[in-house]
Amino acid sequence: MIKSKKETLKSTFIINNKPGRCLVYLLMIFGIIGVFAPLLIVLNVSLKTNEEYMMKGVMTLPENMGNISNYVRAFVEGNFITGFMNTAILVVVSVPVTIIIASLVAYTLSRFEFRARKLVYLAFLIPTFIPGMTVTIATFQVIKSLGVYNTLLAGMILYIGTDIMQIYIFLQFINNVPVSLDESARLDGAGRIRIYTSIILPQLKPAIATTVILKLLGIYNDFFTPYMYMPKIKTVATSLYSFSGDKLAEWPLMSAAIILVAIPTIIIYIFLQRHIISGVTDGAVK
Amino acid sequence: MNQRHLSIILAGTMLAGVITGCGSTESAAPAESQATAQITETEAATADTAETVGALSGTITVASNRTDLEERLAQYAQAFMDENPGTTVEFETIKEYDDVIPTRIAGGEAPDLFYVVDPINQDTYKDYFLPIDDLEFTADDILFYENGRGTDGNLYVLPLTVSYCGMVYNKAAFAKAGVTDIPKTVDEFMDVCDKLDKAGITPVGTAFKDIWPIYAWCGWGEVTLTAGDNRGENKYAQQDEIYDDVMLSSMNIVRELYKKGYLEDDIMSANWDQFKLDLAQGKTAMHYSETWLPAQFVELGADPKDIGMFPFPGAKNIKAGAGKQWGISKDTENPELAKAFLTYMLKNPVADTDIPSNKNIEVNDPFVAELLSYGIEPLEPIVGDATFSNIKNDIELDGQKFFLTYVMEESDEKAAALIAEWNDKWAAARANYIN
Amino acid sequence: MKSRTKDKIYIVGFLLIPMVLLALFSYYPLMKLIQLSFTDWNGMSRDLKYIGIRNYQDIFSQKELFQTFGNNMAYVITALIQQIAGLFLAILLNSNIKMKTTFRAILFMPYIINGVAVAFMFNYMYDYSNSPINYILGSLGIEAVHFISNSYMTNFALSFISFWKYVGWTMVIYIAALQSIPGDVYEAARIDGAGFFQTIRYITLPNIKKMLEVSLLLSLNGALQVYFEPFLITKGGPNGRTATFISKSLELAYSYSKYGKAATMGVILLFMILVLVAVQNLFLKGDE
Repeated sequence: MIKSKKETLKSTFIINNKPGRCLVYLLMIFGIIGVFAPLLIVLNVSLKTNEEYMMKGVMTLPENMGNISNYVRAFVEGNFITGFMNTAILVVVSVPVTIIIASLVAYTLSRFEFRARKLVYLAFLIPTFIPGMTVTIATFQVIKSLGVYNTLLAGMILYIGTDIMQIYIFLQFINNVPVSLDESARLDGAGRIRIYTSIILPQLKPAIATTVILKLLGIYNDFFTPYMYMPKIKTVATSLYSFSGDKLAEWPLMSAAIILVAIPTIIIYIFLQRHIISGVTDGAVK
Repeated sequence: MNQRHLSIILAGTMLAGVITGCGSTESAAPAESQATAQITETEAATADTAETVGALSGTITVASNRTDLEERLAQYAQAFMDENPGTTVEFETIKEYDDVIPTRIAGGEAPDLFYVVDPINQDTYKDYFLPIDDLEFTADDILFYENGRGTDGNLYVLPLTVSYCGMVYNKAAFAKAGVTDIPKTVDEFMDVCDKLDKAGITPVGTAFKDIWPIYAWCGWGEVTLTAGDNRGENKYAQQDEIYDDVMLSSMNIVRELYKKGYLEDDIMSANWDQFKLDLAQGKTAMHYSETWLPAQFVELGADPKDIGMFPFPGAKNIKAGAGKQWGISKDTENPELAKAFLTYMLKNPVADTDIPSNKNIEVNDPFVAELLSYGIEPLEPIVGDATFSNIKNDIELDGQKFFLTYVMEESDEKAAALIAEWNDKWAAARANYIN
Repeated sequence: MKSRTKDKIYIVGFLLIPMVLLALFSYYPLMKLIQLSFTDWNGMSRDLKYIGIRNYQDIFSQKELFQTFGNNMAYVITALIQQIAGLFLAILLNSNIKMKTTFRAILFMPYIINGVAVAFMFNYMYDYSNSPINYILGSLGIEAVHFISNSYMTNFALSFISFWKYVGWTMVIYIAALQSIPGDVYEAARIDGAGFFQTIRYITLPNIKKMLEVSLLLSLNGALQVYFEPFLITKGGPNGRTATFISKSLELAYSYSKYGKAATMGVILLFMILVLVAVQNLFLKGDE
């Protein structure tokens, strides 16, 4: 029954007895229903007209499976095109800059000897524990005095500020790159920056993939930053929020809006899920 | 038929506005006399913005909480900009207005035009708003004009709208339940609820989940004026009980309704949007609110003939009140444009379903007419000061949230104890404010 | 010597921008928060008065403020369950069962869906008269459930939303940790004939201890800071039943214009979390 040696080695348990296997699959089916049920219900409702929803309720299939009128209405009335555009701009600008900054910080912490190293690490760690909601007014004042309030720059600057998670992931990877590689490069006359670009960065590829995706999701999902610091610039999340303004009782329409917002990341996920999960897995392992 | 119901008579330099409610027959006289002094409304507006203000320019931002009117507001601003080339007026709609505006003001990013939010009161108008005594209006034009003065005597804010408190109801639902007479007393009201309930209709909608919709039942101003005392909430700054018999008589009605099952099945998930649909469709029969509400049911598809208003059962007066009070930010870069736009808003109602505070504009709202046709006089609060809200903030009392707690408290003794607790806190805190 | 000074320039160069951002958007606001906690600022006005530690005294004498931690407890409990469930799923999906990558991918999926969309979706699920869940229960002849009610369970209903969204993430983190355990350790255990629970107790848990602690800490941190679900769905209501520590402090700031006091609550929460971190660190060190 034993398959490849490697496979077995990595496994926590070898489950070979029938009842055990059945139990695992049963649990998995349970979990899959838990994940999909709410999404499918919302999808189902989103394809119904209001009248149909009132008359027949939730569980029947839509009379017309191709009824996308709710989607069209949500898309137009919710002004989601602007939302998607703005979110896209934020992602395109903030993600690469964050990656560069975070990897440079990790590189510095890993390869340079200096006394304040621990302190710097700690300085990036502590903000994780500051309750963000309570410091909005001061943050607002900074945004305002930088003159970027109500512009996309506000979001960009706030997103570029790196967090400990990225630095942590990068550090794990850089620490695994043998220092001897640096040394031999230095003997060949490479400077610190050359070492970073030609040795460190290529080794970071999987970590970069992961952080790109996490950061992207973070920006896509963030509601509070655009809501507070650039209310005029609607992103996907704030578009959905203001769309809900007076339509919370129109369930089919709201459902369509929910699905509309969920679709882009689900599509990305379907194509990239292998990389996302393995990236997180590799990145998180020390 | 004329719907001009209110006119303020100013007694000398007193800031007290006394209301003279006019029945539908009497109302013609004062309104006509005003009308002679006026050119027709639209002409006045155009002439004014074009001539007296001259070449306006610049950009202003106007912050509104009406997320449901986003498009209409944009068109409204566009109309102004068309009349005044070279100006830009942007409406910004904010759902959590009361949370967002203070943060923005603290950060020095106040919108050019916004309405009074909680931390601002008469004492501090001057810190946030420009004086607007020089607008072309006087107390003869705008209702609640004098209420907009700060403690320093300058005028800072004005309401765009006014409203009257009353029961909004679905006539079709009443008919279905066989209710023919409008309840005039609380007992009759309970009988009506009973009939509605038996007919399978939710007698009273609260939209309790959103909390604010129940404000008329438990607001100190609303309750006190309805009971015929024009001191409104300021009455409570003068006494040691924040919850007295007057307040409790109103709040206890809802407690009783809840106990008898005359509210929504599940008041915790009864949200505003759902409630509106239900009342529009006659699934819910009544809601205690103000005259700004009925038009929204018509918008949701209800037949205007099916929606009506009647005075709160047992009311001595109908509470008349100012809507949101608008002012111009002290930090605006374009005070002239802001003033021009505020003037424009005072002359041209944003939504035709609003009842304008501007007395010169004809009101043709059938719901207001119906509410006032029962012969109960509207009553307007006298101008007060900030003491009431200061004490209330001091003891951290949120009247609406507490009301929900009070309604849902099953034991009468515990409910009474909760009331006593707030009264004690009130008395203790008030001691610091009287000197 | 020369490369030393050169290195210094690099260190400064590489760290300058991130450190400036950190100072501007984390430490300045933090300092401001601490400063304001000693004032009576109303959140708007230009003048503020220093009132010493009165805010702190006020808060510690107001037991109803700390009662909000009772509501946070529901999130803490859910966070713990989420850790256990995540670990359990990780163990199952790190075994030799078929299609495990597909299962992983599906269970991870909620993590990638927009948070506002998820909140609204559950808002719909929890609506009493419209809830699809109640609809299904009704057709099975079971009485409808009041998800949002005056009972404490409402907090669990809300905390379940983040459970649904993040349990897959927790699972993946633990899979990562499990994969770092050398295979021969398990081999040895198998040869010794160790059972399921024995293996977990003596091999799995000790080996992923560090990850366990980090993950636990982060989710506790999240549970103490939670405000988003109550903000979007219940506004802290009904009846203060779902008010968390943070949402209560926001209420102080915005409903009663007591920003100084709200800031004090923020400082107290931060202090409590840092104590938690410190305790956990001590605990960790003591073990080693």
